Amino acid sequence: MRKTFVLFALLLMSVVSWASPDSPEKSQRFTVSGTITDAETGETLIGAGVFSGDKGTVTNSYGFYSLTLPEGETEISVSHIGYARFQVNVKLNGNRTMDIALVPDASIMAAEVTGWREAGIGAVGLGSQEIPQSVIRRAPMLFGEADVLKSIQMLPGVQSGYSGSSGISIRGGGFDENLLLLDGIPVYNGEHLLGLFSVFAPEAVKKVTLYKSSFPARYGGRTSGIVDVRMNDGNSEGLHGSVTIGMLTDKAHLEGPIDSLTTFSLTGRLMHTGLLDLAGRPFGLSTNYFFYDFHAKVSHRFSSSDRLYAGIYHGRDRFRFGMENHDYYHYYDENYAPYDRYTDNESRFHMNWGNTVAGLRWNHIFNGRLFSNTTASWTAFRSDLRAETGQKVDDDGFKTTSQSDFRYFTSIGDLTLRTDFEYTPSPSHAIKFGAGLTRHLFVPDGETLSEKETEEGKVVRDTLLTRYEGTHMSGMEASAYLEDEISIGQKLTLNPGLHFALFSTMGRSYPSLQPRFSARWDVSGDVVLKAGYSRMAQYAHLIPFARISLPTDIWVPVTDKIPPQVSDQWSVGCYYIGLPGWSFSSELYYKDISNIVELRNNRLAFAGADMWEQSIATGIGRAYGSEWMVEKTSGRLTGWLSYTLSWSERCVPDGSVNDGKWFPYTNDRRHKVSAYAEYSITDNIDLAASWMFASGNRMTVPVRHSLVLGEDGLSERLYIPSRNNWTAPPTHRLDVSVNFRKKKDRGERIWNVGVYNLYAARNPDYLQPRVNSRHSLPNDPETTVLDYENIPEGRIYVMMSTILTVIPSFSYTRTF
Amino acid sequence: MKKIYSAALFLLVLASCETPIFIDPVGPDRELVLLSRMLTSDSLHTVYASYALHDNLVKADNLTVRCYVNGKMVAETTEQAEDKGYRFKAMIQPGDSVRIEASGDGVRAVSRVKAPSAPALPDLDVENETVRLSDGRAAAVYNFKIKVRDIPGERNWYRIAYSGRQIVDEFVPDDVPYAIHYGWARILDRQVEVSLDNTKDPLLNPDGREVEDWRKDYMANEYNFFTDELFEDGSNEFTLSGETRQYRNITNFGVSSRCEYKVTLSAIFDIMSMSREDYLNSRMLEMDYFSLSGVGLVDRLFSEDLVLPNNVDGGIGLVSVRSVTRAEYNLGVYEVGFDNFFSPDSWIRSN
Repeated sequence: MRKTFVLFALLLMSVVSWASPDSPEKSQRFTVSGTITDAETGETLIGAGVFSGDKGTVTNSYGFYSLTLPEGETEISVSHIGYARFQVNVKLNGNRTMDIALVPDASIMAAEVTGWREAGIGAVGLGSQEIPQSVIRRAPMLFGEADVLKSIQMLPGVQSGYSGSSGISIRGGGFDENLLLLDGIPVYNGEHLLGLFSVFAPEAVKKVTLYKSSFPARYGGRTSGIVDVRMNDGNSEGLHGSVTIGMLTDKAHLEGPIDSLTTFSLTGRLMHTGLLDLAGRPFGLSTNYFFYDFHAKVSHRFSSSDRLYAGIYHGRDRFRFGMENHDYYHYYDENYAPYDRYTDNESRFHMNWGNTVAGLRWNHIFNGRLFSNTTASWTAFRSDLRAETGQKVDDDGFKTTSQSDFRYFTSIGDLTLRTDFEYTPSPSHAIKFGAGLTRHLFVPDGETLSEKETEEGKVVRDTLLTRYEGTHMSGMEASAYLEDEISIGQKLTLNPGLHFALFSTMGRSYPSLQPRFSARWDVSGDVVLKAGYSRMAQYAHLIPFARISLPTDIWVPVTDKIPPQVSDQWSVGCYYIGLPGWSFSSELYYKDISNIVELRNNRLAFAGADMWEQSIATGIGRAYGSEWMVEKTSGRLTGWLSYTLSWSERCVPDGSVNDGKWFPYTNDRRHKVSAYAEYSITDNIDLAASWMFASGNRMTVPVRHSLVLGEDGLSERLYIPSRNNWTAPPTHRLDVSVNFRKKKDRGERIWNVGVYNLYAARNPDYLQPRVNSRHSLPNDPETTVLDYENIPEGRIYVMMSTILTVIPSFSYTRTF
Repeated sequence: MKKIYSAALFLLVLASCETPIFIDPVGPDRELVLLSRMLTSDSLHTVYASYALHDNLVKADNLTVRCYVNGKMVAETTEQAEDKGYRFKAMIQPGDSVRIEASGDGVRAVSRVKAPSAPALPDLDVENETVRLSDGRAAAVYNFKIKVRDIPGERNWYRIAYSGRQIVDEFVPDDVPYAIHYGWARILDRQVEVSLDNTKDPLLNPDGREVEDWRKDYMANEYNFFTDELFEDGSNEFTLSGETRQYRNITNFGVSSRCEYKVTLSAIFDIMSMSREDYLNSRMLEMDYFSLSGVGLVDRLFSEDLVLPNNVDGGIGLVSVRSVTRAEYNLGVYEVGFDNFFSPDSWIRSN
């Protein structure tokens, strides 16, 4: 532990001293700094390149840049995708602030923009990619619902869960191994409707960046991937917005200035059935499902050096199911006298789950070279379940009632305070450092069960059978990081970094020193080589309720039995950008993971959260593969073609899973081909199409009938040679959508028409192993029905259900 | 537009379907399954054999099963019982190398195992008292303190198996025809038993939880398995609490109410050492989710399937030898009779 601190301090001191600005005696240098914004909306621009000759920098997540240059006259150029290049001559004889507003110009594509970028080929690190706004908003999606996470699924190295879901597996990792960030604050459950939609409403999204490797040192907490979603700050130039009516949801977005220094952005989304709920409840509508989202953000500029942001996200899924029946019986008592019995039975089931994320951020510019962002945030996920049953009996006037009420909940919440600094002492260095403290509160489950009985209105029994408030487990996570982007000459850029985290829970502490390193070498103007290494640690695990993601899945911290999960990833990449309007990339990666969490053989995770540790085994994992991508970045036709070849395997050495042997992970899908294209047919009509092919995922399927010998004796059982021994059929489909736009007096109207799985590919949307048998086998409850008369009894098969074929969609959007 | 949507809807209905995918047969058409759990405390052993087919399970009654101990054949049998078992007699000692070979009808499967060393059982201490339970009846309650010394120098896996011995000393039977038919000893067998509870022991129930209702079968380490992880090369004292219970069922209820008898009860503890594969096999099957009654609806979605250890060359299955160290404790004589059947205070031992 002491060694770790010493190492961290040494690195901090050495980098800072190395990176300190040249002394004034050596050469006089001054700093130009400021904020880059959109001239039409006033929205800050992230990742804009600011250059002077061969020196350059890029704007940070708040649009701030800092460039230190020698004294004298120089030309400064600013560029960003979708904006006209801005150039200005300045005479530097002192530090100066220069805020620049870029004019939108849709014809400016990525290929025409120079500058370092946070992600993509222009970045130092590998495995990162910025998802273009046009892809998020135009890509054809299930039910026409634009979706951030589903857009990411189209990228190489990213696999989806079951068909139509927004779950993502990055480079063979688990769905819980990704850090989803909303304006820098983690979101624990990124899905609505059991994974069919993600929680990020595209209308409120400003920028989405995916990191698959070479993780910047400022990130930590997950082992496989990071999705960093930044939301709009609000239009400072005027009131604008949009209204969208889709097949499943309605959306509204409004942003604008409150005064000259304050802006706001509001976005809401509600499933149509939510309106039905409001209207139907008074009339006894007892069964319904809907979800809603709400984003709100306010930013206020106190001065040119201080800006405050306050944001909140709240989203919920609500499901309720009710059933009533009324019975009448005519009885005779022991004296053969007739009497009547009326019974009213009522059952109600409610489920309610979702996230609440709130953050307060303060940007401060100390001087032109030092920028800080301090964040206080709260994020929480909670799932509540309630089942009520009631019975009223009227036995010839003698009235009794009985009621039972079962409640269950699981929740996780983080309270965080962190501060981040960006220090640009010279164009050769971009130092980022910071520290944070997070208090995690886990309540894996809590439950109560109460019963009440009355006779003639008097309570005869009122019992709280169980009152289990759940185990409240808290964890304290302290973290600190330091990274420096160092330019050595014209060709070599390095980014060494160190992330340190200390997680304490239940009297134990887990320190973790996580080195990060990436290097970029511009071999020539057209060819770039990169290499990177990252170590990441994860202190919370998602214990699945089932093999599919459910809102009742339980987040739990590391314990003395389940240590933190740690991944080490090495990657190399080669890129070619010599053909104007095109880019070519190829990356190889290898990832080692320790302390992976696996459900033990035949263990039911939801045996009660007080027993979850017994259902979990820890082991090791490895994932490796290569990703290839060709991207067309300019012209009327843009898009990409990508191919991924990958492996992902796991092993639980204690033998409790798969007899201790390596086995393919569920998300081990060997091949993935993805093509995406956007084509502007006219100025008012654009077409988007995506086609994907992915090898099937892995699942465990029995192969023959057999016997086992337990402590109770001999019994018949299906024989499974190994876990995930079967590869499901591949998935492929073509999705298309067309946008018809028409300019209106103010804004435009857009009709979007699309089709999901256009050629009706029969994909494995749901798979279930079965046995064609007349009698039930102990480990196969699905064997009680003989499914096929013409198939030999006892034949083992997998029933593949195809549900999502040729799903048309449409939406109407009006912007103003 | 209406026609387009009608056509799309028609396509959707047409294309949504269920398709069976038949699993390509993996491996030979039939695999010989060999299963056996031999105890060093027994001389009679059973090897269960069957043919595992892709769509069925059939008897393997044409085999010759041989048992070799330390390279020497000690038993051979060709007779399979109704329960699929081939039985033979052999003396197996801790440390012996045992080979089971089954051949015939074009198949041959072999399993080689080594009988582990036997654990030492230096001490068995018993405390007892009579307590009144919450339902008003009295019961004899025991605290069995079983000291187990780990086999040094290696990782070990164990089980504490309990079996009560009941000797009917005296009885005054009524004229009960089926009692005469079956014999009193059989009817009275297991009438009075000691029910064991391991939930207070930190190694047998490491989480110290009071497990209730259906979860108990699933989670409570019903068969008292443990490893030497926490007392490697040392000793550990296990505590099992026991409570006398009289078991009644539909066949013996009437009998019990019309007779008086005395029984001598003994508690027998077998400490079994076993291989890691044997331990994992039994623990997985013990926790078999689908063996639970009443929860079949949640089906496969909610658990992972069993991949069991296999140590049979030329077939599948698990052959194991457990080395047993036994300790027996005399619990005393119990009197049970018509007069006191429904007031079981008098069940407490008479000596």
